Amino acid sequence: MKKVLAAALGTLAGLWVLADTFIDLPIVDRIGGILLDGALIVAGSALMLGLLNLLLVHGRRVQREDPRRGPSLVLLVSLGITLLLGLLGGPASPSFEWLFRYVYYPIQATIGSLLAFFIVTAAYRAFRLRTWETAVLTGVAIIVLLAQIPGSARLCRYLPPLRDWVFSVPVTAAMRGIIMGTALGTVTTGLRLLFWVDQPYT
Amino acid sequence: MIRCPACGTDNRDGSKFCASCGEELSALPDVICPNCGTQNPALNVLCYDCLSPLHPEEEDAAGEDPELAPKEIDASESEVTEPGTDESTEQPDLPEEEPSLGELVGTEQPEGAPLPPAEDIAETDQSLAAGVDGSDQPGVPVAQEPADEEAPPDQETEPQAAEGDQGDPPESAAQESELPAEPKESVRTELETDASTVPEETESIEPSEEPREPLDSIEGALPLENIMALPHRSESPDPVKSGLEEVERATLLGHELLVPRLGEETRRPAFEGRGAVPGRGMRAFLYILLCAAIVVPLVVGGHWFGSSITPRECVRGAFEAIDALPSGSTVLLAVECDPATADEVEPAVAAVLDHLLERKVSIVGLSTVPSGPPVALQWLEEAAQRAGGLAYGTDYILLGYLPGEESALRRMPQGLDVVFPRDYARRQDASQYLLIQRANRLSSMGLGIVIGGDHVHVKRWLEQVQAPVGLPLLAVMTASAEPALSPYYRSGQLLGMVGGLPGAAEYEALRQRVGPASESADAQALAYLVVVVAGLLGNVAFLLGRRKPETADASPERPDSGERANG
Repeated sequence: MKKVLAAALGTLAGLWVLADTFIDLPIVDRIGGILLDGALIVAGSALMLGLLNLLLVHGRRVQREDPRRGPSLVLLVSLGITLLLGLLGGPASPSFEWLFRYVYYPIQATIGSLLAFFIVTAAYRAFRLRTWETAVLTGVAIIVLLAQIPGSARLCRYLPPLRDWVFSVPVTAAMRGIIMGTALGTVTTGLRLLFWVDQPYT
Repeated sequence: MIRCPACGTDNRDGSKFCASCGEELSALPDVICPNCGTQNPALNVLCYDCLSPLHPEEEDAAGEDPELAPKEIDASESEVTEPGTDESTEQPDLPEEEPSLGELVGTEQPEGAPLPPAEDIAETDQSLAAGVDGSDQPGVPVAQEPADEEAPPDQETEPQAAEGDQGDPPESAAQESELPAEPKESVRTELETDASTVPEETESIEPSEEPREPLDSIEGALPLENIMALPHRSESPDPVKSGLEEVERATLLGHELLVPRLGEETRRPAFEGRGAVPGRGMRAFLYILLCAAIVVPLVVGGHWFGSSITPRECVRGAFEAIDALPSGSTVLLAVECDPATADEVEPAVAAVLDHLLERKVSIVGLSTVPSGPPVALQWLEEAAQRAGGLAYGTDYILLGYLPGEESALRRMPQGLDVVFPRDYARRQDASQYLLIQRANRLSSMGLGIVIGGDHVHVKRWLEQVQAPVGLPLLAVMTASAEPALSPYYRSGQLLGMVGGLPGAAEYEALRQRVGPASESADAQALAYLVVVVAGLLGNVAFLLGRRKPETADASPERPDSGERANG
C-alpha cells in the first residue's frame, strides 16, 4: 500500500507540473508553484544532508584513527572555519569574501589549470594516424585547434572559414542528433516514471 | 576448525595449541584423504580437495567406543611418505593393494564398510594393549601407512591380522625390550625409506623385518619425531614444486588483479607499438614546452596574434545584441560557473559587463550553482569599480543562489522577489530595491546572459526560460561548450556566443579595446600550437615504434586508450 501511495503521489505531482506548462489556469499555476517550491526545499535539504554525511564520514575517520585521518581533519577544520565565518558575518562579509577569493578561488583555478597538461598528454596519445577514421579525427582536430587561435588568419587565411564550416555543418548536425536523442530519452524516462514502469523511489 | 587429537576439542583455524588441553596442534604429521588420496595437514578435519572427512573412523568409532578414538588417531598419525613424487599419484592405487595399519589393527574401517564386530574390536584392543602392532609386516612402521587409504581389505583380514598379532607376543616383548635402542634406527629408517618402496612394504601382511614404530602402543603418545624434534616426513616433499605452484598462482593473481589497476601506461598494446605512451622524458619535454609557450609571451609581451583578430559570427551576434539594448534597460545575468571554470570566462565576462555598463544597462545577477554568487559578486563589483559611480541596488544587484536547477528556473517567471526574498550582498528584503521594483519579472528584462562553465547550464536556461518565457539569451561560456551550443545558435534560440579566451579576444576587438584576452592572445596561440606539436610528435613516435604490419592490422578495431581520454 505504501508503495502504491508513493507512486501515485509521484505520478500526480509530475502530471500536474507537466499540465502547468500547457494549461494557463490560476489554480493549476498555484498548485504547480507549490509543488515546485517543494522541489526547491528538497534540493536545499539534499545539500544539508550532503554536509551531514561529509561530517559523519570524515568525523569517523578522525575518531577511529584511520590512516587517512590527516586530510579528513584538515577538511573538517576548513569546513568549520568556513561555516563559522559564513554564519556569523554572512556570505558577503569581508572575511568570508577574503576566504573565498584568496583561498578557495585560487585552489580551484589551479586544479582547472592542470587540465592544460592533461590535454597535451592526451593529444600525444590520441592523434594517431592508425586508420582512416583516426586520420580524419586528427586532421579536423588540428584544423579546429589552429583556427581557434586568436588571429589564426596570420597562420593561414583559409583557417577561419574552414573552422566556421566545420562548426556550422558537421558539428551542428551531429549535435542536433545528440540533442534529439537525449530529448527522446528524457521523454521516455519521464513517461516510464509517470506510468509506474520504473519506480526508483519505492 | 582444528580438532585436537588429544581431547577432541575443536579449535579455531590457525591455532597452534589446543585451547582446552594445551596440546600442540602444529606438530602433527600429514593425513591422506581416504577418498581422493590428497595429502592434507594433520589439523584438517575435511579434505581441502574433495571435502571428505579425513578421519571417518574417528567419527564412526567415537560413537561406539570412545576409547578407540585416540588410538585411531595415533594410527593415522603415522608419517606418510608423500614427497610429491610418483607415489602421490599412485596413492589412489595404494588402498587397493595395501591395507592401512588401522584396518589391519581392526580399528579403522574402510569407507562405507560396516563396523567390525565388537569382539574383533576387543581383540584389537587387547593386542594393542599387549604392545603388538596391528601389522607385523616388514617395513610397515605406522608412520608409513596412510591411515585412510581407499579400498582397504575386507574385514576378514583384520581379525586375521589381529590373530596373527596375538601369535607373536614374545616377539613383541623382545621388541619392546629393545625399545631404547630402536627408536633412532626406526625413525631414521622411516626417514630414509624411499617412497616407492612403501607400497611394497605394505603389500603383504607378513611380519615386517624392520622395527615397528615404538610408542605406538602407548595411548596418547606423540610420535618419536615430535619428541625428538626431528623433521617430519611431510617436510621432505619437494619444496621447489610446491613453491613454483604458489609462485604461479601469485603471478596469475597479480596479473589479473594488479595489471588493470596500474593503468594504461603499463600496458603496451600490440597494435600501438612502442611509442604508445609518452615516456617520462617526452612528457617532461612537452610540459616544459607548454610552460614556456604560456609564460614567455606574457613576460615578454607582444601582440603578434592579438593584432589581427577577426571576430566570428557568433561573437558578433552577441556584441550586436548588447549594442541594441536601449539605455536604462535591465539585463538578467545568470552566473552558472564555479571558480574552476571562472578564470577561463572571466575576460569575456569583464568585456561583456563593461559593454553593458557603458550602455547604461542595469544588471540583476543570480545563480543556480552554489559557488556562483561569490564569483558573481566579485565580477560585478570589479566592473562597477571600472565603470565608476555605480550603486548597488540601483545599477546592479545580486540576488544569490537558488537550489533546484530546473525547478528553480521554472519558478523564475513567478517573480524574482518571490523566488529571492533577500539579496545576497546586504541580506535585505529584495522587494525594497529599486532595481527589483522596476524589473521584477523576466518579461521585463531586455536580455538574459548566461555565463556557463559548460553547455549544460546554458541548455537549462534555454529549455526552462527562453522557450516558455521568450527571454532572448546570450551565452558566455568556456570554449569547449561551444560545439554543443552551436545548434541553438544556428536555430536562433541563442542570439550570440562568446566562448573562452578566443571569444573574449574577439569581443574586445569588436569593442576596439585591448583587454586581458587580447594581451594573452599570443600565449594562448602558442599553447594551442604546443598541443598540435604534441599530436604530431605522438604520430612520429607511433610510426617509429610501430610493430609488424600484420600485428598492427590484426587488431585494428581495439579502441585506443588515448582516444577514450580524448573523448
